[in-house]
Amino acid sequence: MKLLVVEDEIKTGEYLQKGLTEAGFVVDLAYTGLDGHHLAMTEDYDLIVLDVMLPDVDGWSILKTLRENARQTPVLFLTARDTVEDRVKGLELGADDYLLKPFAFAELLARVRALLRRGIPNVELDHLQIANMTLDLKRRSATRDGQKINLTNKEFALLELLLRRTGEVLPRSLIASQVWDMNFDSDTNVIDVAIRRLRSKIDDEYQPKLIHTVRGMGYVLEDNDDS
Amino acid sequence: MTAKLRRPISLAQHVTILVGFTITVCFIVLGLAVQNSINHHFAVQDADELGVVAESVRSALNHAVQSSSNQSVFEQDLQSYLTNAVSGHHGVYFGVYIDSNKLVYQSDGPDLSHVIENTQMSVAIESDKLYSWQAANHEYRGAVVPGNLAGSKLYSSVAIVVAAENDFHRSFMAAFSRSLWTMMFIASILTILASWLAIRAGHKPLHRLSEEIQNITSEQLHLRLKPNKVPIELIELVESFNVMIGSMEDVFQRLSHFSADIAHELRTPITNLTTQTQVALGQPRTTEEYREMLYSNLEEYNRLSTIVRDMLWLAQTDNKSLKLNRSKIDLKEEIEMLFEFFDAWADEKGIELRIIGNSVLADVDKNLIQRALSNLLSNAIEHTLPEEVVTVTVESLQNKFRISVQNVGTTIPEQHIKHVFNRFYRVDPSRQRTSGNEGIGLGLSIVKSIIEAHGGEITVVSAEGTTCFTLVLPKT
Repeated sequence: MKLLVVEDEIKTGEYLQKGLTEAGFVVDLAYTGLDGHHLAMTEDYDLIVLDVMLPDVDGWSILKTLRENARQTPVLFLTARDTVEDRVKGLELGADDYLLKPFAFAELLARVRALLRRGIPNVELDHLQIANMTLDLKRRSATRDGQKINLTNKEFALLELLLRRTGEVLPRSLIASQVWDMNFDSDTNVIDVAIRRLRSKIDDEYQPKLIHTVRGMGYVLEDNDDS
Repeated sequence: MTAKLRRPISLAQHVTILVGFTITVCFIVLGLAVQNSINHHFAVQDADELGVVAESVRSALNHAVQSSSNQSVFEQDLQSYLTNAVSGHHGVYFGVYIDSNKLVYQSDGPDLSHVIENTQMSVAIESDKLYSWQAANHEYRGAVVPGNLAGSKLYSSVAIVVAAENDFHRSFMAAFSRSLWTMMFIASILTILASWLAIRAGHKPLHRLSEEIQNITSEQLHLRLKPNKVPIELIELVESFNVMIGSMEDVFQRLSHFSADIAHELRTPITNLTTQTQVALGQPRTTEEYREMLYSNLEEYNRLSTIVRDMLWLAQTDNKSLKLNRSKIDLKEEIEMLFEFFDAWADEKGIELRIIGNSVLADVDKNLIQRALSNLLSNAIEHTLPEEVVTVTVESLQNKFRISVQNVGTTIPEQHIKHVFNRFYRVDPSRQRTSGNEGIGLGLSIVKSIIEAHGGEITVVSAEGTTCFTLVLPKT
């Protein structure tokens, strides 16, 4: 997967490139709107991360010419200004998502992956599986080591989300939004409690441990018992 | 290219010119009327006098005719009769013409022949038909009347020409006109000057007002103009200005509080970060220790970005630039969804969540109301004692909705309760900072902003261990 990051702030750009590269993407970085525009028009990318406020050509103009030239590369906007007009303008011009600065890297990663996944047809799965745990999506039941585990609706939804995004660090805000449709950054530790309860059912008495806390970022489900 | 804006003509100039023009025109019309009427009066007077003279001449003629037997005697006697005919009148002249304008008598004075040539004979002397002329620096007015020689067969027709010197009237009129126009001129100049001064004086309050306004600097936004110290026409202006200053003061205060708050709140996490990093770098450490420091830093960063995000959000609502995205939602359903969200946490604390009331449809911004209710609920759960209940009541009143969130916990002390909606206000300052991902003291301010953006209001009551937040939303 090849990504383009257009960001004039050098430090931010470098860290985005580093982080995304370590997450397994090939990342090109442009520091100016002109370079970004040129790269976006000539190379093929799977996704472009675009800063709105650039000193020369702003992100909106780049997006506009891209869309005018029938390039449908998904674009994720980074913006420091949170006004409804900005958001509407971005989305009208054909942006696929936007992220408000300051943002958490985990959040960016989750959004990038979600956008990349969008193009791929969602295969209707009956079962999800990791290590010795299986989720029956049709009957909405979970088993581990062959033992049935009783989960509430929300617990099941939470587990399903984690499982579908195996290996991805999911920020609390994303979990709240996906599982409970709470579309704001909640200050509460509700997600922590929910995860703790889920763990007590699926992880406490079993090996390997599947749900891992990433301090300061969120939660990840993976079969990787060393962390 | 700059478009040159023409300044409108000054108010004083405008009014002065208008008043001056009107006054001048009025005076001119008035002067002409006065002049005209006096002239007319004099003419009437002259005509009367000429009539009297004509009558005297006529009677003298009659006398002469009756006492004369034949024409030659008559013409001889005529001189003596007529010479004394108008002895009482001064400056009056007459002549008698008989038979096709043959002059038979002419008193001493100007030549009267052109009067008879230019004037129609009429029995009555009319003031507006007088004939005037000038001769040898004198002005005269004259008329021709028929002489009535009753009973005489000597002359078929007799014409009497009478004339009066007009010099006295003329010089009077000349002097009168001069003084009349001088007075009018002075009067109109005085009126124009007076109106200009009056307008200037009328603008005085404006100048004073503008000086007062100049004195209101950014440090003195509490000052107000006094509506009872200005003329009645300016009261509205002063009141609007006061309203404007009021909202400026409000915004200014919010802005300075905002800056102060944010500086204060950012100081703690930044100090933590700096100290922590400097200590960590003070000596070589294990990877594990570095990792630990980075995690700890990350937590502070998250905290910082939460503060910035929420403060910016509040700033936006302060500017009234928050746009509501209203849609019809069921408030009860919304609360039940939130219960589901908080269920695990409440359950863990052994707290029961209870809802009272029926479904009510409200036209509100779903996300914002969700956020407000969520903040209230999490606040309630946070402060509820174990094994107690959080009760949410939803009511639909006549023209508003009322939602109250009540919990049993510790009473909020009297001195704190009026501050709970203030930014960064914490009832127990030491408490919230310790728990990592806990609130930053903005939760209730955000609730208040959201409710106010909807045109509603929020109140809180706390007594005997029960705290109840009540929010009221108007039905739209």
